[in-house]
Amino acid sequence: MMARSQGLFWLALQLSVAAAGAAGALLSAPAGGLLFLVLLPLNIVTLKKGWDARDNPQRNKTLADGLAVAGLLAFPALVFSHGLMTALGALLLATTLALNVQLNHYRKFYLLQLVSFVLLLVGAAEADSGSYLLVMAAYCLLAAFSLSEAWLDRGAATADLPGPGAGQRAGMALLSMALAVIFYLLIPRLAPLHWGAQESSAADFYQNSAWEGSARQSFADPYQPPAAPQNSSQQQYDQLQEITDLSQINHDGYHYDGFNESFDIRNPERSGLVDLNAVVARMKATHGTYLKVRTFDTFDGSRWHSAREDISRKLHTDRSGKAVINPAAEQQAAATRFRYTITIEQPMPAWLPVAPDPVALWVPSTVIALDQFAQPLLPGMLQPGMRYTVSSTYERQDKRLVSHATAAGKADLQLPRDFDSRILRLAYQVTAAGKNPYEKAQLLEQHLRNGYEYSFDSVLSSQGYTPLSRFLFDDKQGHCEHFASAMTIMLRSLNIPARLVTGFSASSQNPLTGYFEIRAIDGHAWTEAWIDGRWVTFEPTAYYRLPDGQPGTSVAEQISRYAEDIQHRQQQAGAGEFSGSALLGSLWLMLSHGVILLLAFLRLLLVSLWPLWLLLALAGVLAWFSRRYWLPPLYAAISRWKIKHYQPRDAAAALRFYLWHLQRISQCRLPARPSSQLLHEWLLQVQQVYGEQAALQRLAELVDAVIYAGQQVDTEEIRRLVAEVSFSHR
Amino acid sequence: MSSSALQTRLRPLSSWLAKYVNAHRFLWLMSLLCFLIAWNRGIALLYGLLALMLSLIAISWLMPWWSLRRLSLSRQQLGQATAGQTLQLQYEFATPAPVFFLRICEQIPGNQQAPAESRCHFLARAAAGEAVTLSYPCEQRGVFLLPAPQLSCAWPFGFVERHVRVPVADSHIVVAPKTFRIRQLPLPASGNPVLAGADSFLPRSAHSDFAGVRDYRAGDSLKTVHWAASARQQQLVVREYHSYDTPCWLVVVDGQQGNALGDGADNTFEYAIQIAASMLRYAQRQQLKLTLVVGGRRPLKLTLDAGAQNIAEALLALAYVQDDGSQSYQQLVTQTLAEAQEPPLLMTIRRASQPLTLPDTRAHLDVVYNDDSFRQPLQQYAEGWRQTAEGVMRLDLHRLSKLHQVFSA
Repeated sequence: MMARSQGLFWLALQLSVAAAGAAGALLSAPAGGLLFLVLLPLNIVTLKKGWDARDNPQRNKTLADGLAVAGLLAFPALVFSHGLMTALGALLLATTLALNVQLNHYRKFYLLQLVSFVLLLVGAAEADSGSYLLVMAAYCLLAAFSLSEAWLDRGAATADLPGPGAGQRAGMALLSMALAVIFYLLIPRLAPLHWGAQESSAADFYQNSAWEGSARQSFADPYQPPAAPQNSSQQQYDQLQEITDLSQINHDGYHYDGFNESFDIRNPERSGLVDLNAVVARMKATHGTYLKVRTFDTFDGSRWHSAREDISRKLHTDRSGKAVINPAAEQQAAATRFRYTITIEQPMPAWLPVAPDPVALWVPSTVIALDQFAQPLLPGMLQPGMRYTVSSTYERQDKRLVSHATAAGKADLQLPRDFDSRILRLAYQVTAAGKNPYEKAQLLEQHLRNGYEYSFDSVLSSQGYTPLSRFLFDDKQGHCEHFASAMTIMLRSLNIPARLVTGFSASSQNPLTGYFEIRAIDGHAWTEAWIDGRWVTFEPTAYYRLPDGQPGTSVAEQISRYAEDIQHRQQQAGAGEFSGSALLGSLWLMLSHGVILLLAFLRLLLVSLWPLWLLLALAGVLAWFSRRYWLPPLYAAISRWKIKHYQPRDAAAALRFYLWHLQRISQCRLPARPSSQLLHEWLLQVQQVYGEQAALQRLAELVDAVIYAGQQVDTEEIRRLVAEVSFSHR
Repeated sequence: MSSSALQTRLRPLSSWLAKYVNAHRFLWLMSLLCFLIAWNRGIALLYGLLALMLSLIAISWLMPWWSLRRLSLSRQQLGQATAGQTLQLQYEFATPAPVFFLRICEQIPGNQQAPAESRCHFLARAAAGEAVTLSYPCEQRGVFLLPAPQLSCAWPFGFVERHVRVPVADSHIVVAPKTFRIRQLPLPASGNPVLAGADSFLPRSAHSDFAGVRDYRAGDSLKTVHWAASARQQQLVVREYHSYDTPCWLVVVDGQQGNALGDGADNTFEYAIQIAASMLRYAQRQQLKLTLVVGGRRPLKLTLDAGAQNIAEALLALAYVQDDGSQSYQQLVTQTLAEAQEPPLLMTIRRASQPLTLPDTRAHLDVVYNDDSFRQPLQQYAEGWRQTAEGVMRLDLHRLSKLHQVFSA
């Protein structure tokens, strides 16, 4: 039975932190904070109740049963209303309280620890913010206190036993956390298995009976352009109106002009009412990628749009929400595909951001549509909390994403009506060394990346001319829409079909949570060129790099990339302006750079120099097992050196110093002198091994005289005696 | 199904879990669980939780080792220990930093079967220079060289307990034999209550010669108070006589090697030492003179004068005796009787299979242990006093005899 109550306060805090952390991850941070305020007194009261009845827990059995039953009743209700994890969290919470009132033995104490740990696990599985690390740190700290209190409980006799101080316990918790950080940095991340994972979810399920009526189970070739519908003008108008409705969102959400059915490159809006640094979506994936949203094939000099808008192709989803877009690719080996899950954080247009080419997707909807470029969309806006999973082919050429979506058409060679011939000359001039369309496209891409500056400021105005001319020949700076438009038009001028694609560059992986954070500022435009019968992605904007298709093997790499992205975003969002976030960002950058340097050094040591480490480890093992042969002589040599260079100041200190080192020298053939052994007993041992030691005998007498009798002795005499001591073998 | 029935059904499972799953293994299991979930879902925070679990395991492994790394201690026995009671050991630690959650386990001879809680002590904190006194039950009489104590440390979380044996200087402990209270002994010489320890009712002149006076001691009969001398000296003094009707007790214990029956501390030699030690206490209380002889390679002969106040040294001397002698019990008793200046009241302690032929003695208490009871202790054996000859009382004992009951009957 428990005898100490000191640990219960820490346990109450620990349980409250775990439950509040889980609630914060499952619901929201304010909900978690509120729950903490409610749970702390509740846990204290229930634990107190359990403590008072610890000699007869049956007294609280009715209450415990009631709490457990409440948890069991809440579970099915919450499963249907808030999802499995929330229901599980509620059940665990009720279990915690039920166990609290029955707590009388340390078996139940450790069971409570287990339950709270599972709550922490639930929170960690659902959290998408690095701030959950604070919850984990607090849990670790409190666990150090409650566990050490539990270990102190050795029955009634130890009820008031003072344990280690708070400093020692907190020190252990901090040490654990520091070690955990090192482990965390070094643990390799394996590709996720996704067994039994919930692929999609949403607060409101998407349904559209009109779409379902015209939906099919699959398309034999989704990349075949849809035939022109034989619709009445009223039907065509209705469809266009529907596309407009699905493209535009309310003003409280994320808005990027590039996701509309048409957009002007001169001054595209990129954030709506949300902050440029706000996370609009999170992606759980093994590596970063481009996420396509809209494709544009027609350019009028300043505005991009599509030659023909068509969302008439509809696809049913199965019971799990799965829709197979490309059945042929679905049959191929799963290893060739890239799977990722995206959670929407801000309202967005209905087009689903997906990496090319989507093969299958799991959405919280009964039906999806494919636009004219086989881009999937839902029958409604993408709402916060909506989660969907996509499996894409992720074919690449020289790190460039490749798409087999709808083949190039006439529109992909279209040039604006008042096309500036200087652009054509520039394109020829730049691509003169190119032998084939791919090389020409690469040269154009390099020209734009190297010769032009990225600027987020809206510096261009049309002045009645195409803004591309001014961008290419006058200002030589602009934002991604200018780069992408310029490259697309220059490719077309070379008779290479090309188009402009908008979407997200999801390359910033938060090393703490592992999620790729897609921010408002990440709305981006790039170019696809039709080369050798497929669409190849080009990134003409110097400021963006092609997302690396290789997963980061360690957290250290992720930290490095994340720091770069922060710097990137900071500059995009207005470098030079003083703001709190800029200051914090700079501090974070400095900190992360320090960590990165350290980790880079660690990696260099661990990874690059592993043969040396292996040799050193082997040498260390050998040295450890053979230490009795080399350690005493080494110690003896060090002691001889120290004796030689020692300048005695007072006799007592000198005697202590010399005797300590003489003992070390004697250990070449003698065991170490135990603290309980008298000096004269040790002398006898020395004389047995090393022969008569008159000087040492005299030194021992001086120890008695100086240290115990307080007599004065000349230090020179001590030095002389020490010099006479010889530990040569008899 | 009632909760008790459920508990009964689940008992095998909980027993199995208690047997195979300790906190340390449980941590590994949780780490594995964390890893599998993190691997399956690819969530970085779960990898973080895994790192935290691994860190807890690492700290649980490393810190006890680190704490015990440079810990040394010295120990010594505090006071006198008696078998059946507790032994107090005083420890002094030498450590560069305080050690927490320390457990000290001692292997006190005869104490191996005792529960771990009594053999081990838990110290929440041990710092250099602090002296700690701990008590251990000790069941076996003797002088023992204590092996190095086992130190365990589970700081800081109690998940992993590391054990080390810290070399310490030789520590001898001395445990005096257990004694029991003898209320009354039978009268081997009939009609002489003085032999049973009763005060003599005879006039002093009738049975003794005056020897002198001494200071009154607690327990002295008021009849012996010399009131006139007390009045003169302003303190109680008593008369002492040369005793003729309260002859000297002689207890002879067999110390021949190989004669003892039984195992460990449960053998006839140890029982004999216990009886002898208890006789010392009896003689002290009854103010009798007693001579105790224990055979062995280094025979012990000690004499307790009538009215002696302190028997601690005598009991301590009994801690050292061993049954390692070569002289037979018959020879020892005969020799001891021959050396006695006046006929003693003899007590012998032997096995039933050990014949003893004595010259005429004034009175003899013959304590006899049944040999078979050491082979088959659960059978019925005779127990109690009986007169076997004039002046000879025999006490039959067996292995399970409760000495304090038999001697109090």
